[in-house]
Amino acid sequence: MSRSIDRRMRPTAVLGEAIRDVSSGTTRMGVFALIFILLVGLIAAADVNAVAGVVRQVVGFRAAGASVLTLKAEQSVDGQRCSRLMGVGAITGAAALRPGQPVTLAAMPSSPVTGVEATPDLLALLQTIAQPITIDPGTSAGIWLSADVASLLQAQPGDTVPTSAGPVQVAAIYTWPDDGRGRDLGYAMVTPVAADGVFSQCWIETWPLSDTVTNLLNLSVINPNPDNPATINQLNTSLGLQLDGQALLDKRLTAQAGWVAGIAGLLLGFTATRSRRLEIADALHVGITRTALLWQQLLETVIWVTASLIIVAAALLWLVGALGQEPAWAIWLTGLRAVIAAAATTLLGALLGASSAREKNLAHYAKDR
Amino acid sequence: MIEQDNSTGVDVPGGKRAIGSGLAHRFPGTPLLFTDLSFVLCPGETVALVGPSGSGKSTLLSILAGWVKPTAGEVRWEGVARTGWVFQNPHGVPRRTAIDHVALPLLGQHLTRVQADQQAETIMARFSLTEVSDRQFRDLSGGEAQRLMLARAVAANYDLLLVDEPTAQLDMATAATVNAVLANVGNSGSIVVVATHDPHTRDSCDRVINLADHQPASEKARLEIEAQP
Repeated sequence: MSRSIDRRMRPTAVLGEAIRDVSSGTTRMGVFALIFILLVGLIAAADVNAVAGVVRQVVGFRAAGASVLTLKAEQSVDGQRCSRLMGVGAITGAAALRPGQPVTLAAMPSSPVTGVEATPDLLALLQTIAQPITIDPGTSAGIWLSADVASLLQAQPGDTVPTSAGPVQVAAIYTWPDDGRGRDLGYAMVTPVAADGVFSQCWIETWPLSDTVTNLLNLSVINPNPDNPATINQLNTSLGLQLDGQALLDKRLTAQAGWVAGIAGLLLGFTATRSRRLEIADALHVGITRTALLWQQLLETVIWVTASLIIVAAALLWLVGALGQEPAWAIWLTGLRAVIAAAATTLLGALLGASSAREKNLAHYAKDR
Repeated sequence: MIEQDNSTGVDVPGGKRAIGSGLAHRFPGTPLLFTDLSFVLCPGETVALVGPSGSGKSTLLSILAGWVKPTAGEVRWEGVARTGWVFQNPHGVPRRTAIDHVALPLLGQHLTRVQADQQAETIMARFSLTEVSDRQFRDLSGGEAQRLMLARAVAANYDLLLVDEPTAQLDMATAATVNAVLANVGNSGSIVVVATHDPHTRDSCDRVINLADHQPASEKARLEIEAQP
């Protein structure tokens, strides 16, 4: 009888074989890592670029005030009711406004500035739709000047400006570009006032856009005037009435990047080990178990896939930084999903490739060499 | 050298035997390759399988491996669990060293790397491979590579080792280096059968099975006619 032989390969021996295969170049990790980096990296980079584009479009839409709805109802808007809309549903900001007295600046007596009174919450809303905005952290009270007026006065936040109503302190300077938005605040000085009382407009910023907010907006109206009913409009209609960010994300050209990268990884991993079928079949023939061989191939693949993954992740990080689009981490993670999918399927492909080698085909593989 | 091909009932050390009884084979639509072939193969000797081209040497190896069912007769294996092959074209992992190739089957026998390397060195010395043990496979000569395949087969500890034309691709000088160590395979405890048409390889073996002696009459006549100048 043949003597009994323990056919289990020691884990250290499996690891040693994997390391020797890698260090000797048998794994050809350089070639496969390069293909992974280029192929998967390009797929992920394209997706990052596409996602950043969608985010840029959404941010641009909001920044232009296209997500702001304005309700106008002369002397019929309750300031408190309007302010309380903030945080309801998808409403991210709400403020009530009314015309103030025109202001004559001592420096420009011939060009009166539009005076606007608004509830303090408008400042938070301006931080979404009136960038760049500079706020003096030391000035809790004070007026907000449009950049057009501020540049004429050469005023900075914290400065005191002489007006027809006496000197006022500038608390903030906001930008109100001529990009299709309503011009109410374009050449204006906004004075924050308490929400008590009646106003003529209620502005809400809502994201994502929703049809139901119109009903909510109407709640701010008290004593409606049948002869002069409230009207609701988009602050800026130049970018269209609607923008469905989720739909844009779902329909982006690279929406299937994860699947494509996954399939690419599967094929790459399979090729990496299938191309070594003679070596694997030969190892089976000399008595190495399939389990030990699969572990060995998995370890070797893990080494080059991990190295590739780190390189691609770093490259994507650089790309996100170069694109300069916030939220950078979220965009990076979106791209990274495709890379991780590809890494996982590369390992799976490698196992499938190694499993496909058959000892009984050894002679056939040797002949095909 | 012993000319013998019909031995039966031999007491065998270790209990391994491959017993062929009344073997004959033909492929569909072709004449019989050989007929009335019986033998007993035991460990401790190297058996040469010779015969003219087309006489069925490789086919008989496949029958011994259990890959091909003979047209007539049967092969019975006793104590044979693992069958190994050494092909005429040596193949290995180009960038791995010679000693890695011999150590691998030993690692597969639960040995540590140190133990496997020590045993591999011992086996390689028997095949005159000590000098090239650290050389990559791709840098070995044809003769060194073929001797390495034999050394690895010994390390793999097969019950039955089938060697197919080990010198067919080698020049005479290189083939001589392979023939010189062939007997060492037979001393490894495996049943060893070497199919060859190289007379020097045949002479290096302990026993010969000549398929020319088992040709059907019509086939024998055809081969004789073909052999005439």
